[in-house]
Amino acid sequence: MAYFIFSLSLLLIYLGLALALHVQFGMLGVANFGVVGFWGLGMYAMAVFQVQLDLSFVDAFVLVTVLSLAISWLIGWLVLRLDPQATLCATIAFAAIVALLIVTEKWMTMGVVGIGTIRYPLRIGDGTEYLYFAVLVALVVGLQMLVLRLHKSPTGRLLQAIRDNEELCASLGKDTIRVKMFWFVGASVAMCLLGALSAPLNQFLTPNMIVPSVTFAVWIALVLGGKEHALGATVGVFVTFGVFDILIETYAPVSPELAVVVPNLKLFLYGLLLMAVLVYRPTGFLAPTTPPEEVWSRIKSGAITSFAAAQSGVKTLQATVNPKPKSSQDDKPDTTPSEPGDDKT
Amino acid sequence: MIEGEQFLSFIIDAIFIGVLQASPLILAAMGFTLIYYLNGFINFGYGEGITYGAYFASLLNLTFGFSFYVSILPAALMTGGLSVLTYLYVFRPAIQRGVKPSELIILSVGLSFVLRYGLILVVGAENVFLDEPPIAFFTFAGTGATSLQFIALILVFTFAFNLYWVIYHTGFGEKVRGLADNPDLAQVSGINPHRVSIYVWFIAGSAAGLAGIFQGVFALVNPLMGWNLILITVMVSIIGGVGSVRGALFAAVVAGILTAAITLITKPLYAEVALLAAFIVILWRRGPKVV
Repeated sequence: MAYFIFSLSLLLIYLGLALALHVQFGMLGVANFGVVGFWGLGMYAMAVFQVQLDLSFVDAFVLVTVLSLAISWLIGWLVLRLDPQATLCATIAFAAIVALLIVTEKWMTMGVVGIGTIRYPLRIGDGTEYLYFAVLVALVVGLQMLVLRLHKSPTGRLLQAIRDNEELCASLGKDTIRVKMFWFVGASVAMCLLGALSAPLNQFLTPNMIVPSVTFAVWIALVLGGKEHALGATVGVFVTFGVFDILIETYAPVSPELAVVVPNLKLFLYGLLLMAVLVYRPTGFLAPTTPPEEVWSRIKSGAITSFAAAQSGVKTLQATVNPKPKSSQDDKPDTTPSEPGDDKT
Repeated sequence: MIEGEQFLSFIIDAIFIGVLQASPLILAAMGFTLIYYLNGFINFGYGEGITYGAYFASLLNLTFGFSFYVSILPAALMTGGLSVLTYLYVFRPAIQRGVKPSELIILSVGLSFVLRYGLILVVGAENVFLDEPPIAFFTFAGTGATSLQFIALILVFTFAFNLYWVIYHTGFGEKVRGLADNPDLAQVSGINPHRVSIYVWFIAGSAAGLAGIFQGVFALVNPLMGWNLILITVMVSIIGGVGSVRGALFAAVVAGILTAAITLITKPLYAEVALLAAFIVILWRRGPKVV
């Protein structure tokens, strides 16, 4: 049960990251491929402040906020004027720098040995994890409400307009670079703070947590769910992380020798799913215009499809590992998400 | 004067080691820049070409027992074939369906996941060591190099020279440059974009394969080696100027020398940090214009 709560808490962290990325990429059009850099920075800063400097959770959190504000601002200033492909490369380079410095600066981060233990704030005995989980739920629901509100507000429309045609917005007298700066830095700080909040969840941090797969997991969730829809990030995270990491890894009856393969199979299927979505349904599950009342029915059918895909993937694998005479080799998982209804208005 | 002499020998060491170790990067960057030039997007799947090149070489070298030198060419050509397949079955349909360049990058990341983790599912994630040929060691002006490094370097420069000649002095090169600069005009003047693309993806894939083979024989072969090299390959190609074979060569050599110099002073990881930071600053200095 404790592990289940841990997985659910991690899902919430990913949800928060995907929502922040939705603001940056879905609304503002800034391709931030350095998600793990911001997240890892916040997480390690929290650990260093608490373990090396022996600060309390609140003090450390305030310091992380200040630090992440400064660094996000610096990165925003460096990358926001660039062409989209250059922005993408620069942010990916930033994430690589963070990961490398965590390894080299042993005096601060303990290097590859790892740093810990980071204890939960609000300790109330046995229920601590549940309380922390409740706090995370409240925060992430708050973030989702903020995104929903942003979509309905003039600011949200301004962000989308900048994404679609920045020159036009600038010519209409909007200070586009300032708006971009504000929302990019805001979302990046949110990523750092989500990192800070995941430090007590993981308790012990090692540099191999700061890997590009984190960035891509968030990206895949967002693209799959629908990058421009207010609920796309949430749907995507539940369909990818929820199905693969929680349902399959917790409940699927896999033998121990197969369990080693599952994470690799997961990333393989993520890649396949991402390719299929980009080619056959570039808007993702939820197109920007999907009306709210249709969202739920689509989530239901979509979640079922991708769960079935994942299950059949595991079955194929089982068949190849323990071949039975009758197993069909061509039973490839169908990873194309279903398209119930026509969303073309 | 001792100071000066030490400094001079440090510079010579850095240049020597840098050039010798840069050969995989030079090859990878030259191939990468061609695809970027022709199709206009950053292909992260290219990194998997490096990995697959090394694994094809290990298949021929370890499984079938060919000598290392014999396996170089077939392994490179097989990687070229794989590269053409990814173009024909992934990128070309996507481009025809109107997927935008920024989404093609994400698509290439998806492809690289499929290739990398597919490989892990098939062969496992363990390190593989190629069966090296007997190595002779030469000393030269106080520093040394192995015969393998010299052969790599000679091959790299032969490849680079030929590629340069093909791109700038042949009809085929003219077609490539025409298609990259103005696809519509090139098609109207009777250039078959499909065929030219297939050749370019083949050449680029073979370059990635060669890069992987040398990277693998200098160090070791594992499924993440391509991913570890792709970021610096992208950096070098962008700094060298997209589509410029000469620029990619020059930037890769400079990056190799800088890495060697910083590694001689401090830890190798700081060299990477310095290169990445320099890359961000260079992009920022260039401003919104390009890549």
